[in-house]
Amino acid sequence: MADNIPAASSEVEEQDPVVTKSILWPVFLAMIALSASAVWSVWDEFYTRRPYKDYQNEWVESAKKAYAGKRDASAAEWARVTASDEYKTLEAAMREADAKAAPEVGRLTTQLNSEVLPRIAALSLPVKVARSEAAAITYRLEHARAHGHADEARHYTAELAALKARKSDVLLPGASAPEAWGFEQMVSEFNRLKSLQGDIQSQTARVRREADGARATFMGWRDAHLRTASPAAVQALLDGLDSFEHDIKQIHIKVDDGELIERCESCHVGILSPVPLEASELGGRKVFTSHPAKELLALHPPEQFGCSPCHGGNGIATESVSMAHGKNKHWLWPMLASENTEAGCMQCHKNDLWMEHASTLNEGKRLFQWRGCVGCHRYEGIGREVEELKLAEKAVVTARKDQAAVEIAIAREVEITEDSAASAEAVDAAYRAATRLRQDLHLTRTREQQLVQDLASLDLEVKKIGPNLKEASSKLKPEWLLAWLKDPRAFRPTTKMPRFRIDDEQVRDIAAFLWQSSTPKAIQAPSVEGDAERGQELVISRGCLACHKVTTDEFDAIGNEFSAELSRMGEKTSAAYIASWVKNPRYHNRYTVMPSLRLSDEDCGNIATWLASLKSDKAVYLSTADALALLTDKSRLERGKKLVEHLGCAACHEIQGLENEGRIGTELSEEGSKPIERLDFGTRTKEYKAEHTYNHKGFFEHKLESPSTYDKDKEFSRWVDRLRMPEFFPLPGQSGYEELKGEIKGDIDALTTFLLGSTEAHIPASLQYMPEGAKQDIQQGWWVIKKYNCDGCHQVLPGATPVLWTLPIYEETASFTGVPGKNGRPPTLVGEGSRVDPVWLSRFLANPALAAEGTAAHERNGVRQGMTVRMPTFFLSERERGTLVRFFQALSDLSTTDYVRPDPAPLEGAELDLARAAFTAGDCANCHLLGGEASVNPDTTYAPSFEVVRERIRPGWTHRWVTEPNTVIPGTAMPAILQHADGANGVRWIVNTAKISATAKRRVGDARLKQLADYTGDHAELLLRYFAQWTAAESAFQQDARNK
Amino acid sequence: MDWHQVWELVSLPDNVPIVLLLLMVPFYTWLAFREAGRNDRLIAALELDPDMRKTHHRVPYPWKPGWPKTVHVWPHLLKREFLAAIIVTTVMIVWSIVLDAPLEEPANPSLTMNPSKAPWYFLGLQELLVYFDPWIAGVVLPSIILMGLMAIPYIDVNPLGNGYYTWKQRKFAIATFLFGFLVLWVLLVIIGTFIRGPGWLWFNLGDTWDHHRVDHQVNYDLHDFFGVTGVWQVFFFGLAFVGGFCAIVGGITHLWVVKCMPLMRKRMSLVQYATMLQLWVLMIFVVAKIIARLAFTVKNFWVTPWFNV
Amino acid sequence: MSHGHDEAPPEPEIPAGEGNPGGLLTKLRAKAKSPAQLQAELKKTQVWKSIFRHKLDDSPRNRSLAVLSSVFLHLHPARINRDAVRYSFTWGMGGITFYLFVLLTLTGTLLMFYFHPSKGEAYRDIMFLQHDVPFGNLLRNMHRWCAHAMVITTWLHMMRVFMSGSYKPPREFNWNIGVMLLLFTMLLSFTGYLLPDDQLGFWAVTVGTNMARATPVMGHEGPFGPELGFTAFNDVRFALLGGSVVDANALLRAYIWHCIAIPIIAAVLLIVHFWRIRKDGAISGPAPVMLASEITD
Repeated sequence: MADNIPAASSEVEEQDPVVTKSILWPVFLAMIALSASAVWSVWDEFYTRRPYKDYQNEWVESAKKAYAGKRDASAAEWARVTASDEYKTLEAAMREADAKAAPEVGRLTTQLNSEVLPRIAALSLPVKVARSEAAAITYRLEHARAHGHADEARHYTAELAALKARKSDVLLPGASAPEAWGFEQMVSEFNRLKSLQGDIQSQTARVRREADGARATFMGWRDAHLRTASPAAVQALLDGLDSFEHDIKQIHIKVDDGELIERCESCHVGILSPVPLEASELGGRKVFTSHPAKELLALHPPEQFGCSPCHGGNGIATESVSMAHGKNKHWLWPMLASENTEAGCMQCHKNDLWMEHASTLNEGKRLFQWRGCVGCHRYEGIGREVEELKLAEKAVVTARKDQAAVEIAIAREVEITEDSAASAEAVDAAYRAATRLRQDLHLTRTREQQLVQDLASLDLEVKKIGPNLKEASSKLKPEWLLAWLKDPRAFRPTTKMPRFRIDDEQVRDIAAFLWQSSTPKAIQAPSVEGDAERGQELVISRGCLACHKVTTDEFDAIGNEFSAELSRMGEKTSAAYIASWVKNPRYHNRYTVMPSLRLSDEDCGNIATWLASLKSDKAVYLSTADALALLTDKSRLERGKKLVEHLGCAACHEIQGLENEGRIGTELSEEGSKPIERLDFGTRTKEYKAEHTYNHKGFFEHKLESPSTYDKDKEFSRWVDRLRMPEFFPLPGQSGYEELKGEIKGDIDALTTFLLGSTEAHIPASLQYMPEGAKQDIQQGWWVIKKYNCDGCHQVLPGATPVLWTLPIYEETASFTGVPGKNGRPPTLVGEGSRVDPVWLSRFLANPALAAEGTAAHERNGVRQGMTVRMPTFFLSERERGTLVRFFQALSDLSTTDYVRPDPAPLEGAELDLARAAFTAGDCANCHLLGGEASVNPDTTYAPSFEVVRERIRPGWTHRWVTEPNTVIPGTAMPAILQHADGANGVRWIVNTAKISATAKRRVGDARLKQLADYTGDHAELLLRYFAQWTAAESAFQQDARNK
Repeated sequence: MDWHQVWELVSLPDNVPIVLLLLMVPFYTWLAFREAGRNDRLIAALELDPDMRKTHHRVPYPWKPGWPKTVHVWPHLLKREFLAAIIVTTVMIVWSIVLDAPLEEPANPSLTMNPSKAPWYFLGLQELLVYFDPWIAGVVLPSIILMGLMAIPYIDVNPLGNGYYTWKQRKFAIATFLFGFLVLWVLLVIIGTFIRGPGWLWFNLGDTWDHHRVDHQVNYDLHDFFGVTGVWQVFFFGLAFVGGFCAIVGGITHLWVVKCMPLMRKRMSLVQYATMLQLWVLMIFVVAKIIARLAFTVKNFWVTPWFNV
Repeated sequence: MSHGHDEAPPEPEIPAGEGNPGGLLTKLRAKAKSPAQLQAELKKTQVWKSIFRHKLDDSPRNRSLAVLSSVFLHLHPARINRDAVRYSFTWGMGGITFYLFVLLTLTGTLLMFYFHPSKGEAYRDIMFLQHDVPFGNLLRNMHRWCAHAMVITTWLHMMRVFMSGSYKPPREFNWNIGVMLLLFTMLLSFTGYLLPDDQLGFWAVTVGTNMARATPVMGHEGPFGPELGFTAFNDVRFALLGGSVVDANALLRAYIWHCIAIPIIAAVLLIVHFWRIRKDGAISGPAPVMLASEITD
């Protein structure tokens, strides 16, 4: 028998355990555990899940120290400012004005406080009671009338009359006993007092006007001169810390289509500090620093936009840093890394190509287009011309079909009208139908016309970033083509062309296809043999370097990277081709952005001769014959074509037979919010998870750095299954790496920022930026500016420095044949919208020479004929010209639609003589051309020609220009020959005789100068009116005057 | 061994209950068998010793004459219930403090989760989807499980083991139930949770859940092995196979019952016996299908234009 | 009209302070009763008697009455099998399951105050529960973990009942109630899964309800379903989800099933379950073992 089976008889236990066994201890312990867990839950709720409490405690301590330091610094600054004479003067003026106004203000205040307000107070209750009673009776009266209860109505009328007759007790201030006032009396007195109160208040404001003005001036001056907050203000911040509320700091934004809750300030307590705080002042605690970009914050007030729309993260969360920063696993919008912060701008500014304060993102967007990413990857809003062109082509076809259908319908109706058997009604109906159809036809034709016009525009707008390969065989040297395809960066480290992972055989196949598929294009080489020296001079001075880089005799690789570097051009192509290309780039490549520089045949030859002479002596090529043998190998044609198709060469180049290739890459418009599961990390998932780069940022960075990275360890049965994205940045050890390694990280960051920002918007639409009018014009304008590199030559925004301006030849004291130093730079376009007539600008953009094609004048500059650098003729579409015009107008806060050229009063007789004299006296023709000159003197006459002044310039601008040129264009060579004078009708400008040269005085003559001095009108106005009626005759007149 | 993956799986908030299940089920199985063992030993002793039968209180717990046969609920049971409530509350509070309930991304119908899993307690059924058509795994089998559970009291005619744990007196009933519960339910839940990864592929514990993993397994319908073609031929082949299978398994079971458990057969009415046999055959069929799929790559036994079995 | 108090006699002046033998305090003290007396008197009051129907002395009668006269406790019998209080027999699983059901009802009711069963709002409300509501996280966590725990304890309870043969006559019917409760426990948990409207719940419910497509005869992908004219827009799955996909309607349906319909059904079944335990002679054991040799058919 087993031991554990108790026998009934055995004495196992005396006591019955079931009844007697106490479980007090287990219960007690369980109670302790339960209490402890309850306490723990409270601790967890109020402490563990609220880490911001610690931060806030720490903040108070750090901020006390930081603010104390700030206060002392501010006190010193304050003392410096208050000690200045100007401060004292202004303060005295303010006090004086205050004192002057004081007696009257005092009198008014006393009147208000002693006579008016107490009486209003005394009357307000009886008036309120009486009025409310009257209103109640009136309601009942109206109700009774409306329901036809005449008796009741009479009753209430009587009651109302009784109320009005009733006297109420009114205890006026100062009176010993209440007076009995009637209803009307009370109400009229009450109204009188109220209006009196208003009168006194406005009177006070009137009396104080001067004092208030003085105060505003004083405060304005003080604020402008104090760079820090006042010590008192900082002290107030410091004092505020004593009563700091330890709580969640929350911004709650409620809009129609959503809401935002942001509690970032709970930990980042100092982020909105009115006094800037830096980590170094806060004991190194970055969490408490104030927002580093104050200007951005001013544009995007957090109480309106919150924090997480820009920065990402989870605005609501406060329980841990990782939750708040959205770094937890399932949060879709983690906080952006500091190098990609600007990705947040894309939430709203997806369509802005260029933004102030967002240099990384701007660069990312620029690179995305410039490196040709958009050729393979569709991106909503970028490079849309190609798609628009296809749509427009389809629309034209449809419109034509519609027309044909309508024409047939008309013919059918007409047939009925001509049918003698038809009834009169049928003929009539057919006639009416035909009429309506003809009108339809008219509208359809109009539509078609518009579409055709759009097509023409689009045809000019579509660009490709690479050269046209349909003319490869007439352009390229065979041996060069092979070397180039093998490793483009070996030939030209700065090239946009990426490196493809192809072997020698594939290179030969591709080259052979390109060679054999191209069609010979006639070289329109005007003259090839030229002067290399002169060619070099032209390349440097004509403006080529605004886009291209080149190494000259004097300078190593100067110019811009916008287009291909021209050093070693001779290895690539022939002089004849270069000559033909620079003569007319669009002839060779209809998709090029390169404009015509309107060069003479001779200059084309000179430039070609020089460029063709640029060769590296280290380059090693196959012999031309061997190369040609490879390129003409017919057996390579098919393989080459497949490769070219597969690799997507047509994304950047025009290639025979591949004109309609679609984009081969993934669309990237919303790549940043693509679910992470859909980004193919290949076999590297685990590795990158361990590195913490298994996220969008990591994906983009890895991919850009080495596009084949996700092919690692993969087994491919076919070569084409590999990732085909080429390498845009050289890897260590590859050619070009040494030259470019400094830029790679920055470029990848910029592109990553752009891609990270390419997300579906996750903030309410009503908070997004939807620019209209001028803002939209600016937005659109930048696309054209950047597309054609306008800002390579021109300053578009104040403070910007175009690449061309940095050339050594434009230095202040530079001496270079034909370039007059600083003043020879392409003009600034800051304020262009306020300067030029919009209609003229559009015309000028179409034809910068302002002369008919084929004329000698066409080869010159239209406005600044004396300049060596010249505005080239871009092949801009009408649409693009309109966009540019609107852009400049908008930048100057002007609108194009309401511009009408002003028509000043014509000058006649004496006034005309005076205007001519003023012109001559100013010696304007010293720098400006007058028009019609046979030749120009390049050393001096770089200013605009007067030929175009009438149509070109907006008079308002001219007035500012002739009076204060230095404020319009700081540092301009334009002298200020007018001076300020008091006139009968206020301020006027007169010719400053002290500034007139002796020669000019002689040309004008003393008598005229005297008359001019006696003229009581505004001389600037006189000149303006003179310009407005400038003609060839005037040119001749002034030319004569000069010749005197 | 990818410990990170193991940790990710085990620490996933919604998988914690299954870890708990993994600990609790064996414990309580052991507990039940411990109690059953005590009773079985007592039964054996009583069978041997007729005298003892007359005096023994027949419960393996201590007892002395004079001790009450029943005790007051208040306080003897209620204090224990009170203790249990406190302990459960404490456990739930601590669990809730330590582990946050999961909240993933907002529902997104266009982004399929891989693997998409039903709540853990249905993962046994989801696992069955591998072996059966959805209508069987998702609808028919659950219904039969429920009906079978409900039928238990009416087909278990064994008068022994009523109200006490025993193994020896109810071997067949307990073995069948535990096989169904532990293997066909709990084990499949655990496989569905910890073993089935992306693409519902089999990942041994410790294998990395690789979304790109590609497996090759071609399954054939049974008739393919025998070269049967034509809709009706296939239909009747399947019908014959399934029918034959059931008949054979049923027959063997019947022989076994008659030979080894004649008393059970004798006590049961024909309806009871038939119901019991049906449920038993069905359970064997499910197991057979799983084995046929895993070991012999058989997709379906019976293929028809309307359904597959 | 004059008021009575005008005529009322002046109240007697009682000098305050100690030492005054006629002071109110002293009089009160003299009249004061001992706490025991007070307690005894309290127990004689009608209010006390109306609430407590029996005395509290520790007597066998009162021990029984304590259970029998309480609505909550009378589900228990007054006395039970002496060994039924042992944990090793019952495992406490039925009681724990019921206790978890109570906890779930409490936490669930509180959660309902913070939850809107509509798309967008549902997920946002969970965020608010996590980040805003005091103890909101604890509340939600408790609800979820209790739900999971309840599924497990229900299973184990079933296992215990089977292993101890407690479904045998006369408890056959109560076992069936239990099977239904098992089903409803899992359905409660399942319907609650969708409510946060996150990816986890959405796909779990999608996978779960996709099986309903294959319902024979009534599902549009089940055997004979298409033949009988069932499509994705009229089959049993459509009825479950209120649509052909898991969307706003499914959310609302899950919410109502979860918060109202199933709890009511489960509560009714629970009442029957408990009532049956009492009626079938309380808990089944530990019963005296029976011997095969004693059975006579």
